[in-house]
Amino acid sequence: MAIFGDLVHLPFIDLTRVLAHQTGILFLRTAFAGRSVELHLDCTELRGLYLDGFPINESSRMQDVLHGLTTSATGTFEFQPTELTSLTPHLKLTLSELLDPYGETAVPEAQLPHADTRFRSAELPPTAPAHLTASWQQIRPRLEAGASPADVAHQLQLSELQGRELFSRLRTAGLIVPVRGNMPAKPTGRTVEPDVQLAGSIPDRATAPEAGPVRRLLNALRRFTAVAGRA
Amino acid sequence: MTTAVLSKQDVLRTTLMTLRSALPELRGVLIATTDGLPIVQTMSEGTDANRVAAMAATAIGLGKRINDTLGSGILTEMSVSGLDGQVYLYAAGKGVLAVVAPAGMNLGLLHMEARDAAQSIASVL
Amino acid sequence: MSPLKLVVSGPVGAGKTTFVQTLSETAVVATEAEATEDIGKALTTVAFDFGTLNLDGQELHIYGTPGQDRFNFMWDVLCDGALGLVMLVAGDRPQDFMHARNILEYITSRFPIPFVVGVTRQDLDRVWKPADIAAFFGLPLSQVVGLNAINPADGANLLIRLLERLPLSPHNGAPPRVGSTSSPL
Repeated sequence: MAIFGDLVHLPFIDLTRVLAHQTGILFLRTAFAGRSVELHLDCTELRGLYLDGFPINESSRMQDVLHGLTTSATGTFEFQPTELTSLTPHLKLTLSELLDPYGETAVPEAQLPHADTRFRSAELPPTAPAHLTASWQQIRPRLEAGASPADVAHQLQLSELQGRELFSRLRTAGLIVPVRGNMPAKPTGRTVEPDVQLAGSIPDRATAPEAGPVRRLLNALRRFTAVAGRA
Repeated sequence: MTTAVLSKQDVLRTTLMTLRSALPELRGVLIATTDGLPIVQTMSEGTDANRVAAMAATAIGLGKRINDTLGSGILTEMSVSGLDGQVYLYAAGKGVLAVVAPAGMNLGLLHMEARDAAQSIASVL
Repeated sequence: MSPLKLVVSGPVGAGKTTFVQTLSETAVVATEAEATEDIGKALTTVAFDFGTLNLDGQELHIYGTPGQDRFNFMWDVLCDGALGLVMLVAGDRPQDFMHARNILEYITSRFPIPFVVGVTRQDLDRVWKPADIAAFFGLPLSQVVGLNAINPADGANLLIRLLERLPLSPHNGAPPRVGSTSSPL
């Protein structure tokens, strides 16, 4: 397995979520003021933090480094899975708790959610971080039935880009999730309707396909893969 | 190098402006690459030129495919008409010319001017 | 029997056109143009790739979408009435993961369409594995499958995983008949 990339394309917070079930060393080549950072991780726990190879134990220094990683880290990263016994842990802290109070990186425009992607409030949203509390209070009622950055930008008189940036932050904070599956889509093109169709009505396109043709396809595909074998 | 690129843009902008003055009723004119990026455009406020450029490329791409299948030769132009307006798309070498017109426009004049424009665009790109 | 329709989407370079070509029994009808941006290849899809597969008399139409955001109207057009969506992402291109997630969420938040994520380039040593892509996308592992886009068995396996996710209406009470009438799709 390999977990690698560049923080400009895959923000640090998202990376920590990918590593939530992994044990090993996350190496960030130039992430903190051009200096290298190593995080020794055991699933959700931070077991070691090294700056240019030197361990960081002191709490405020650790906060500096983690804040820097969250808000302005750049450069490539590589994760090396290892056994816990190979790490020489000098810490035992829950990583997500250490990161919570901080702001996030500016996400490049190309990686922001699409203006028409529909989001709704998360099932059990966490408490909003301080810098998002006001926005969250304003937006939350509009998200009960699902809304897109374009919808909200229009209603709050923000630019579409600002709407997308806001939704990106709310999503990173775990407050909103994209709508999936059962809700009917709004008509394409921006409209100013404040009401969104609720999940009670089932649109034509959600009609379940007939079982017969799909089962036939499945059986034929299974026979094909049994014969062809796996590479 | 930069000078050469600028003068291509200048020529294309001049072509666009000439077309607009010859046909003042036009709602918009756009020149795009065949892969859907706008090069120069004068579309009306509230029209997303990036969107129109991509759609023009898709339409021309499909038009070429239809022409190939029917044996109609190299694609020259196609149109999409509605009750309240229409857009005419002209193949222009490595680009596409999109001309947005209101309903009821003099098509003879439009085609004459636009085909000329498409030819000069093709020679530039 | 009317054909069933599947859509294959994903960022530029994920392997969509290759995937459709691998699975299609007929020559793929592609609508491409010269790429003016540096995308690592000469041509890019501007409308769609169209391939067909006939399994046990059931026709399957497979549509590959363009990858760039400016063609998102094609994602709408192609996904309308589709049975399911295959979202491909190249496992050796982490720079595209956010973008792939954004495409997936755009499509699936607007259409109630079953989907699976296919992680291509699994033939390489240095490549992200499906489990880690699943963690990034916030999806269950069952919904993220690794594949090599040029391998037909891998392609068929991905289709199986997608079809297994479909909510199926019970047959109308009558026992299945050979050459049954077309389904309302």
